[in-house]
Amino acid sequence: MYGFAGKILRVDLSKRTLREEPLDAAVARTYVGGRGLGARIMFEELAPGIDPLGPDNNVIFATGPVTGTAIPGNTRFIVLGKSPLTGLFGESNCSGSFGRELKKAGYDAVVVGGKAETPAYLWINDGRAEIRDAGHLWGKTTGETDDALKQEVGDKRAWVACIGPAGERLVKYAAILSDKHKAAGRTGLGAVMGAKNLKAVVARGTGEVPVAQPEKVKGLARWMNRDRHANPGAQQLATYGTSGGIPGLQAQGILPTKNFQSGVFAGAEKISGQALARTILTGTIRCEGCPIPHHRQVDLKDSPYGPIDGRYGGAEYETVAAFGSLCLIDDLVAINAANQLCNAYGIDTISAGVVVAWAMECYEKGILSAKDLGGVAARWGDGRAVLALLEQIGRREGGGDLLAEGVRAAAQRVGQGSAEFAMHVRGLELALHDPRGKKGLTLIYTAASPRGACHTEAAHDTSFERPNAVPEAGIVAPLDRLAVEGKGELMRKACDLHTALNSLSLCQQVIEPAMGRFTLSTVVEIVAAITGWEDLTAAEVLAMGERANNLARAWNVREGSDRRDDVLPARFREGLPEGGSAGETVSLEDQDRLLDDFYAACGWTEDGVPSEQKLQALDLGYVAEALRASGALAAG
Amino acid sequence: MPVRVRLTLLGAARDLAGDAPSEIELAPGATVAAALQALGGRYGAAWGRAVYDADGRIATEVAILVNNRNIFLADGLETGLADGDALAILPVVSGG
Ligand code: SF4
Repeated sequence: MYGFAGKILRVDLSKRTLREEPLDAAVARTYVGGRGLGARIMFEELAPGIDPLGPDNNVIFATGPVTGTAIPGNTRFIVLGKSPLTGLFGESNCSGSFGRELKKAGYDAVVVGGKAETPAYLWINDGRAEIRDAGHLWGKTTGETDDALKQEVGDKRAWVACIGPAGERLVKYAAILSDKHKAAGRTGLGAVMGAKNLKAVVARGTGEVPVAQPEKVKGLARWMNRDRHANPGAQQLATYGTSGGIPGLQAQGILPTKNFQSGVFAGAEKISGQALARTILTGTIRCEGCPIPHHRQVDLKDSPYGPIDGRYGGAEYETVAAFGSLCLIDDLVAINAANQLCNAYGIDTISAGVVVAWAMECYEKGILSAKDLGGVAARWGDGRAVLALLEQIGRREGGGDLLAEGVRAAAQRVGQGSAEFAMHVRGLELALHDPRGKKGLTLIYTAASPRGACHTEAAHDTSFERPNAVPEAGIVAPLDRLAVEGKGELMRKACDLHTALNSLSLCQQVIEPAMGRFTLSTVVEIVAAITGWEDLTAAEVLAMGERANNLARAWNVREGSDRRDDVLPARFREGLPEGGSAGETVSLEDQDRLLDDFYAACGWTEDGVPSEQKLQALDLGYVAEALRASGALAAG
Repeated sequence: MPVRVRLTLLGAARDLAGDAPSEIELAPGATVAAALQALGGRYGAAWGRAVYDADGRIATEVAILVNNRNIFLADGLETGLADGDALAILPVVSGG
């Protein structure tokens, strides 16, 4: 089978058993990899209602057909499982070479269940796998763990995906770190590893991913590299990183500021990628085979916040905005110190920034005192306060035990109206994008995302203000970022496309047709050359995404989640006070209209449940049957 | 009377322009196309390549806004510019 290693590794930590299972060719073509394959495993194997931190949950590492090939952007792997933060579908997407190594070692995916009696790690080395003791690594940071494991397995080219102290202490938004600076951050899957006593997975593979047309793949890779080198947009990304977009967000009044109270930040220029490049940037990092070195590196021997180790990378857009504009901090050194701390402890920077901003608002309003926060006076704009709170969260000390539960749970516990400004959807803290200035983002955060408020379900509205954005998907007419009309249909297509890229494991920073990064026809050409699926069409690629999204949605429905959870935080009903999107809101009427249109476009019921007809059309008859059995779909 | 337009350049359009003026003056009845031609004349071919793609269309990663609204929601390059209008050329900031 071209494009696949052809095997899945099954690990039961309770029984300390390992077994290989073949990846069926029909399953590979239908579910592909990434979310598609992971969601299928989750639907079949994770019974409704299981404890996310119990032995019945799985942590799944899934690659896709593009992973490990010569195509630029071949570096993605997806981690999945039931989220301890949301209690629903958990998933996070990570770059680097861990996925490449895993696949070259002979596995398309690893599924880890059970719970080890004592701390353990998994060592996967060219078709052999073993469970090893990790007692000596427990309590160590991700950097220490990464270094120790590379030394222990005796191969510097091995890649490590590990947790830090936050995952061990079950911080609900603990991340999984790879190479110290690449994070599978969202939805708390680091805590799932911690609950399993699984400190790390280490992979090394020297095999080749078999491709159907090697010369064609090489030629496409060369052409894509040349194109990106010549492309001014790609070069901007390489020069300034993702935070090079901050001046544009500020100009349009949609830079999340002061816990989403505003979209304009006085210190925006100071925290931009342009300012970083002028000041403390010491290097850039790229993934294997990628022409766009957009990962930042900040290495400071000394700073007001102590040394900053460049091996932890440097803050990129989401992190810069989370600890910067959201907390009113205009100091890039403090922001990069926060980034280092999160990466060392293994904490998702997006969730952490939103939790800290909520704590600052609580402090300002007198809802939380310094005493509640372990002695920290959580004032807006205070970098030291942010760092102190992150330390507490990573160790679950002081106020950290409350904050480590995530903003939804913390607000429930604290009460006093603090839920009104707890910025989450379904328990997942908002990414750093404001739906008032991009109305379709409402759907990306709610109905379209099985995870909750994650920004990576689709390209955002601003990508669709031009004509013919993705003609192969029928996205032709330009739509205003502020319009509600037409967004349901648009976002369904955009989400199907984005999820197809996820399942194929293509990095969307390199290839995203909706963002003008190559075309859907090119995606088809790449995948056909890799897999040998010569009859592959754009429609089939989109159906791959649609199937994966319906499966993930159905998984949540079976857990009892539906339209009632597709709700933005109340704050977005207030108008943005200033700037290029002043006065914009997402009213309840807007939200209902968006949901109605989106559900209709998806073929879902008014309650947001995938319909029998839709599931059958996507070859998901067994899913329809399960939803009937759970009562979510009418028996028929 | 000439038309004065407030100008914001960001991203590659800004980098390649060096120090851009905050205002440009155009002939009456000017359109976005005329403004781009004037700017292209001033900043040269490399600047043009940051704004247009190889086929001479506005590059997919570039957003051109008049009074904060994308020109493709109006008349595209033929969108008219009136005295006091704000013209912005910036990278599309999408996310996702
Ligand atoms: S664009 Fe970034 S994340 Fe994607 S492959 Fe390149 S360096 Fe890695």
